[in-house]
Formats: sequence, C-alpha cells, structure tokens
Amino acid sequence: MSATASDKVDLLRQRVRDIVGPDGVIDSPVDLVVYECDGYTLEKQRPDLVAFPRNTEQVRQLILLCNELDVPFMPRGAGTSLAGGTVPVAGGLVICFSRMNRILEINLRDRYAVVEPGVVNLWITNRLRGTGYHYAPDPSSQGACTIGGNVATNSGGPHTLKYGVTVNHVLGLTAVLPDGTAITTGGKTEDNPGYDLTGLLVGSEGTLAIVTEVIVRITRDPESYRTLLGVFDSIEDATNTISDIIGAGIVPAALEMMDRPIIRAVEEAFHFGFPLDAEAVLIIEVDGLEVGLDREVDRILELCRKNRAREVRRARDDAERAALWKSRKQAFGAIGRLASSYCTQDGVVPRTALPHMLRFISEVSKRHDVPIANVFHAGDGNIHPILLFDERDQDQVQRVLKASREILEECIRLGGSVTGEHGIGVEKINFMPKLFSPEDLAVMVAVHDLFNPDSRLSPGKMLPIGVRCLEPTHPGRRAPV
Amino acid sequence: MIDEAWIETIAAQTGSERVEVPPEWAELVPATVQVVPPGVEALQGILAAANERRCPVYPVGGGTSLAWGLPGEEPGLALSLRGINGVVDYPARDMTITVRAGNTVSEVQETLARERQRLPIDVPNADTATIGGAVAANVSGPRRFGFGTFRDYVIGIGVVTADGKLARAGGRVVKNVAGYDLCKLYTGSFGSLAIIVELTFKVHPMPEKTEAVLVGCSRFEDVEAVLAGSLRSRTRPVVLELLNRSAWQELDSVDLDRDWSIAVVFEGFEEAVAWQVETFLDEVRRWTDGRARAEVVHSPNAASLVQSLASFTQRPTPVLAKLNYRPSMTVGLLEELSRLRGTWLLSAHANNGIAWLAPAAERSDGEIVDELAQLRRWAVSADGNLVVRGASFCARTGFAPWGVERGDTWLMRRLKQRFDPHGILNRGRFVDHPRAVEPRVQDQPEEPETERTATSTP
Ligand SMILES: Cc1cc2nc3c(=O)[nH]c(=O)nc-3n(C[C@H](O)[C@H](O)[C@H](O)COP(=O)(O)OP(=O)(O)OC[C@H]3O[C@@H](n4cnc5c(N)ncnc54)[C@H](O)[C@@H]3O)c2cc1C
Repeated sequence: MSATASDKVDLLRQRVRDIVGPDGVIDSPVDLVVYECDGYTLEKQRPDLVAFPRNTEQVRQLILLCNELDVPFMPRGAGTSLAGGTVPVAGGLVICFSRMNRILEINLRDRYAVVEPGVVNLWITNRLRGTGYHYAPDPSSQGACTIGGNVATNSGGPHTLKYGVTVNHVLGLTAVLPDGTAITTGGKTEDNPGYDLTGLLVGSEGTLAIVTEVIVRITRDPESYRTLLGVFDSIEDATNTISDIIGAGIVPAALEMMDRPIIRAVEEAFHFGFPLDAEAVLIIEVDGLEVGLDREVDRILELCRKNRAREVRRARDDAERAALWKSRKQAFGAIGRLASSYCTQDGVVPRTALPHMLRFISEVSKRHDVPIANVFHAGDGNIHPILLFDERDQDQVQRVLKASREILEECIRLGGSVTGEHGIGVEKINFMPKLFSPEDLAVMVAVHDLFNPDSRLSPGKMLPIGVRCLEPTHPGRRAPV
Repeated sequence: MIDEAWIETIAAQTGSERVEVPPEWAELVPATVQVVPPGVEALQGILAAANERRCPVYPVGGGTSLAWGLPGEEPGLALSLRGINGVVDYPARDMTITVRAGNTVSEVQETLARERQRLPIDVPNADTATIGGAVAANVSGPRRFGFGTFRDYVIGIGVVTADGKLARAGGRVVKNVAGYDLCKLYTGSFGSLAIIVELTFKVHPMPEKTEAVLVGCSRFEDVEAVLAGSLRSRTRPVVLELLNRSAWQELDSVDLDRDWSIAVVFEGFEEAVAWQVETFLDEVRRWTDGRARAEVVHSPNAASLVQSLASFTQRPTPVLAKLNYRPSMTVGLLEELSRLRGTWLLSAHANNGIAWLAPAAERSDGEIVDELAQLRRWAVSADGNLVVRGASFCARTGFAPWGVERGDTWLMRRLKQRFDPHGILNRGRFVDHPRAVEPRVQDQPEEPETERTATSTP
C-alpha cells in the first residue's frame, strides 16, 4: 500500500528516471516487496519507488526532487537492520546504495580509507589483506551489511570489545542534508576544528542526513591471537567467568557466549565439535604481541578454572580459529532449526550484572513458557536473548511480546540500555521515553528538527515524534547477531 | 553593564558562593564575579535566570583552557563548576566511572589508580584542570596515538542546557546506541552548547610497565624512516612524539647534538615492553642505516617523560598553534618551518598528524601573525587546519583562532543557535563569532540560502 497519490508517483518515477537513468529505478510491485522491510519484519511498508544513485550529486538531485514533490525519502544499505531501520514508514522514495559501492582510496601511511556507503563491511578488510591492516568493526553480518548502514547504526561486533565500535573508526563524512545541501564533516585528518558533527551523524539512524562517502580509520593487524573455547556446566559459572575476566582488568579482543540451545543448533549446522551436553560455552580471544600473550591466557584459564569450567580448548591453528568464528558469526542462520519464528532482543547491562540478567532471562522464559536461547557479546554486557515461538499461535505471540518487554525493562532497571548495536529503528521507539527524560528527548528533538525540520527524511524512526506509537502486537521474525 | 545586585540575588537564591574572578582571567572572561553553585539544581537556577535576562554566562572549570577562542566581549557572570564535584558511581569491576564535572582530573585519576585503572588521556595541569573542562576543551596528549581521545571514552553525559534544563545522553554501559550520541557533540564544544555537569567514562586497566626509547635524528629522511617505520614495526608504540631541538632543550635543558628527537613509548605487560624496547632499537638501526641514535628511558622516568611531553601545551606563551595535517606530511612541516624566519618550538603527535607550535622567543605580533598565516595555508594544503590558543593575541591581532572555514562551519553556527538561542553560553568565544573563523578564499557560498544555491561536494 502506498501513501502517495498515484499521479504524484508517476511524476516521481519519471523525474527519478531522469536523474538516475531508467536502469536505476525499481517500481514494479513484485520487486518492491523486497524493500518493504529488513531483518525486522513486524512492520512493513512498501515504498513507492526505489532509486539507485551512483554519486553524491545524484543523491542530492533525488532529495531536491522529493522536497519539490513533498515525498518522504529514506536511505537503505543492505537491509540487514534488526530494528526496522529501513521500513519506509510513510512510503515514498527509498534511496538504495548498492551502486555506490567503490573503495575510493586507501592510504596506509595516513591510516585511512575513503569508501562509498554501499561498500560491504568485509570488503575493506578483504582489500587490505596482506597490508598488515584491517577495518576493525566486525558486525556478525559483515559479509552483507554496508558501511553506510554501519555508520547509521554505529554498529559493533565481537571485536569491538577491545577495538571500539564504528564511531571510533570514522574520521569524516560526506553527507547530504534533507534540504539537499551536501556537507563534509571531519576529514582525512584528526581534530578538525569545531563541533564533532561526524560523531553526531554516526548512529543517527539516517534521520539527520544521508551519508554518501565515509573516511574510515584502518587498524593494524595484531601480531598474534589465542582463541579459547571455555566449556561450562552451568550458565551461572560462565557468566561469573565473564564478570571475573573484566573485573580483573583483562580486556580480551572478544568475549562471546553461547548457551545450550544455540550450541546444539550451531553444531548441527557447522559440525565444529561443540560439546552438546554443555550448558554454555565462552569464546575468548586475546590478541596482541606474541610476547606476554600466554601469560594473559594463563590468567584467563585460571579464572575459568576457578569458575568450574569443565574444559578449556585452544584453537590449534588459523583454520580452527576461522571455523570457530564462522560458527559464532553465523549462529543466527542455525536458529531456524530451533523454531519456526524467533525474536532477538538487544539489551545491554553492566557486565557485573550478567549473572543476574541471565538468571532473570531464564525465569522469564519459565514464567511465560517461551524457550529463550542466548548468543551474545558478553564482554560488552550486550545480551541477545532469542525468543523462540510459532507465529501462527497468537497466544505464544503475546507471551513472547510480554517476555521481551520484561527483559528490556530489566536492562533499564539495571542501568543499561535497550539497544547496544541494532538501533532504535521503528522497533524500540516506545522505549525511548523509558530510557530518557522529556528534557533529554527535547534536546535530541531539537537536533533532529535543525537537520530534518519536515521529517521528510526517514520519518517515524528513532525518536517518538509525530508518529503513532504502536504497542507491537506481533514480535516478527528477527535474526540475532 | 552587569547588574551586580542581580548576581547577588541569584547567588543567594541558589545558595551559591560568590568569589572574585582571578586577575589573570580578566582579559578572557569579562566578569568580575564568579558564582559557585553548590550543586546541579543551583546551577540550573542560575542558568534559567541568566537566560531570561540574556546575561552572558562564562563557565569555568580549573581555568587552564580559558585562553582558547576569542575573549568574551560582553560582561556577564563567570560560573564555576568546582562546587559540582564528587564521584557518583564507580563500579570498578565494570570498568566504568561516573563523576561530576568539577572534580580535578587528578582526583579522578587517583580514584581510578586505587583500583589499578586509569583514563589513558594526558591532561596537563591535572591538579587544576577539571574533568568537565578537559572534556569541553577535548584535551589530549601524546598517548592519543595508542589510546585515542575523550571521544573514545565518554559513554554518558549530563549537561545543563542554556535554559537551565538537565539533559542526559548516552548511559552508563559501554555499548549503547539509543538516541543521538550527544556525548560527541559536547566533547570539544568549549562550553558553548551546554554546561557539562556529569560524565561517565569507560576506563582502562593500568599498564604493568611504561618504558621509552628516545631517538635522535639529524636528517629529514631519518625522521620519516622512523615515523613510517613505526607503523610497520613489529612493536606497537603508544606514543610517538616528535620534538625539534628548541622544544627538546626546554624540556631537558641538555643540548643534544641532534635536530629532532622522537620519544617512543611502550606500555603493557612487563615482558612485552622489554621485548618491544629491544626490538625497536634494532629496527631504528635498520631503518636509518645506523645513523639515528637511540637510547632507552626506563621506568619510572618514562612515565615522567610522557608527563613532561604533555605539559608542552601548557607552557606560557602569547600564542600556541595547533596544526592538524596528514601524518605523512610531517617532514613537509619541518621543511616549512625551516623556511620561516623565526624559530618555533615544535612538539608533534607525529603519527596522528597533530603538531603544537609556540614561538621560541619574544617577537612582534605582526611577524608571528605572518608566519601563522603561512603555516595555516600549509596545514590546509595538508587536508587540515590551524587553530590557536591565545585569546588576547587574537583579539589584538585579528588572527582567527578557529582556523579556516570548512564545509560544515555554517551548520555548526546553526547548531549553536539552536542550543543557545540567546547566545548566553560563552558568547562570541567559539565558532559563533564572525571573526572566530577565517573565511575560505574560494568563492563558495558560506551559508546556502536555499536548496538551489547549495554547493556540491567540495
Ligand atoms: C545475521 C545478522 C547479524 C548481525 N550482527 C550484528 C552485529 O554483530 N553488530 C551490529 O551492530 N549489528 C548487527 N546486525 C544488524 C545490522 O547488520 C547492522 O545494523 C548493519 O549496520 C546494517 O547495515 P545495512 O547496510 O544492512 O543497513 P540497512 O539495514 O539497510 O539500514 C540500517 C539503517 O541505516 C540507514 N542507512 C543505510 N544507509 C545509509 C546511508 N548511506 N546514510 C544514512 N543512513 C543510512 C537506514 O536508513 C537504516 O536506518 C546483524 C544483522 C543480521 C541480520
């Protein structure tokens, strides 16, 4: 269903064609279905048109056109958002970046790369292979998601525990404002004068500007790794280990947890050799110089043992390390084996609160009779409980919604957040007033209105303004990280 | 004229102390009275009242960064943050800390040190500088090569807005993407958008050991060999500070027979630091065919060395320039300096592309301005800019403190307007002042009037 009157759409189609060429437009209802949602399928809305610009100037022209015709517009990368970030809530034009996918420059001496927003995250690291550098933020979706989407959601990943999230690796942006003005922020150099507009735009979920070029910092490869798999007979022991490792002042490169249901699903899918009877495993990676690394491993082993780890295995070589990470990063793909539908939450708690939080999740699971599996960025306190259900059963659906809400509210109560990396999108707008006071939100709205006064860009996202706030009635089917 | 009676009333109403403004600030902050609110609510009351009267407010922490920007022009009140202090929450095992803005940086670091943790950011005059002021001025030092800047550590912030509202952003957990990341916006905003009252940081474990290698070079090619080499080195230095001869003499008072010194610091596990020192010595020999001389600075001297390096930016000087540029052009900068008539002290975070310069001797304003202008042109050609700390100097000479206008300067001005419609916060000291930023030479419109006149990507 389209929100825009049909002759307006005809005009839009014709003018968009003039800008991006006939092959740069999708307008057939069949093809548009792909663009009505992303990894979050609870809310869907078909856009009137999808355009594929090739450069900043075309993006600018498209935006000017949307202003002229009073049509809402919204950027889209690979559509892997798990929070409904790419749902064109008000219809209109979706600007998709898959044709702006060039790595424009790589400069090793000055440690940056300039890329277009449609570049897939992993391409940068692949291109850098052999140079001793990589691009550090590594969302589990990195084989598909784009830098534009990463910038918009300030994506994290397993290794952001040590290396930081996207914003810590973005030096500058070219962006087009909702009125069609192109700006550049930051640059190839550090500390450009004035306000850190780059930092403001990163994580703004495409509600302030459309990013058309990104200058990223590239990071040196570590000399060595040690990748461990800690096997535990209870979740409590595993979460206590996490808390002890961080509490001891050890900053692993990555610290991830998977519980029994996930272990089983992953083992069935990838045959890595996970122990099927374990209650939880921790993937612990430390990296850095070869010298001293084993001492860090020893400290970790000691903490694992103290918490009754049944066994701690070491990845023998690069191949085994790669297999282990593949299992972890593609864990979501295996979840289809557990239930017909699932819903992933993205809460954050202080790391010392993880043992409590996991107990709480298990109580919620029992109380509402909803199976919940866990696979998450434990070192950051970023939980991803996956609620399993059958979406044909309305009763289950309601229980899943209740359980989700209780879990996120507990995160808030513990001083945490309702999203560590997936964003607010359309999914969590209702939580914003629970997380922030009216005064906090007023400042954010003021920023929003300065950039995007008519809300023509990405309406109905992130901030609870000018849109209907629906309590969800259906949890959708979402992939975890 | 500022209404003293009104200040007295508002101070009494909010239970705030009044103290005199130290004479050394007088040129920078046009206020005779400093009001010291005892808490956030009092501060809110003062700001709300000042906003209503359109009375300029000059927030002050420890006073160590007041010389940035232009001097305030309009009389107003100085608002001290020293009364808003204390640790709000320090869950050491979560490796985060929440503190109020008025603590000195030393107080925060001492609290962290008791748990063998730290904020790995070098703030000179840490005994005086407040943590809120350091974040507002985005202070950083030599360790930024290894550890980044405040932007990488501030995870939550509480501010009081120009109209006296308490507003927060971020949170207390290390990972959080809910809402706009206003922490980034306030960091480095020099008190021009809102007043920071509370900060949450993620913190690091204290390193076991700190050691340094001091490399001396007399040829440009050797300087570049060491700087570029250290990016390929098997080691991972956390500091790479390049000093010219005059800067080093000030630091050490020993005249070493070398033109450039590069201080390279390693931190971390004891055995890893020892290995890195040995390896780096070897590498330097190779990179420079044995020409560069290198010596080891052991702990605890290495840590003090970093501290002395960090204090370079606090030396008394009428004007201190900060250049940002592409790190690969460091030698180009050295060449540019050698073309100037006057001598400048140089201390550079060389592989970050940040250089600090101060005139070596007393010279006429005119000469200094000419050379700064030349250096500014050079920095812009190196994709960077040149800003200066020296408010009185800038007022005297008309030299724009905040660099050459960039593609987003106009947007910054609008942001300032939006946050502070009556311009009460540090009025005219930051980019909001028409003379704070040097216009670009190219004939690009400064501020797009309508969408049609908008410029495309520069
Ligand atoms: C299996 C799986 C695993 C995942 N793992 C992780 C993980 O480990 N960590 C993590 O952080 N996330 C993870 N995600 C979530 C998702 O991949 C990230 O949010 C990612 O950054 C989205 O990128 P995208 O290109 O798909 O963007 P999209 O989904 O297309 O868009 C996301 C948001 O960005 C905006 N946007 C896109 N392009 C631009 C642009 N050029 N300018 C401005 N705004 C723009 C969109 O409007 C939307 O709001 C995972 C998702 C899946 C499906």
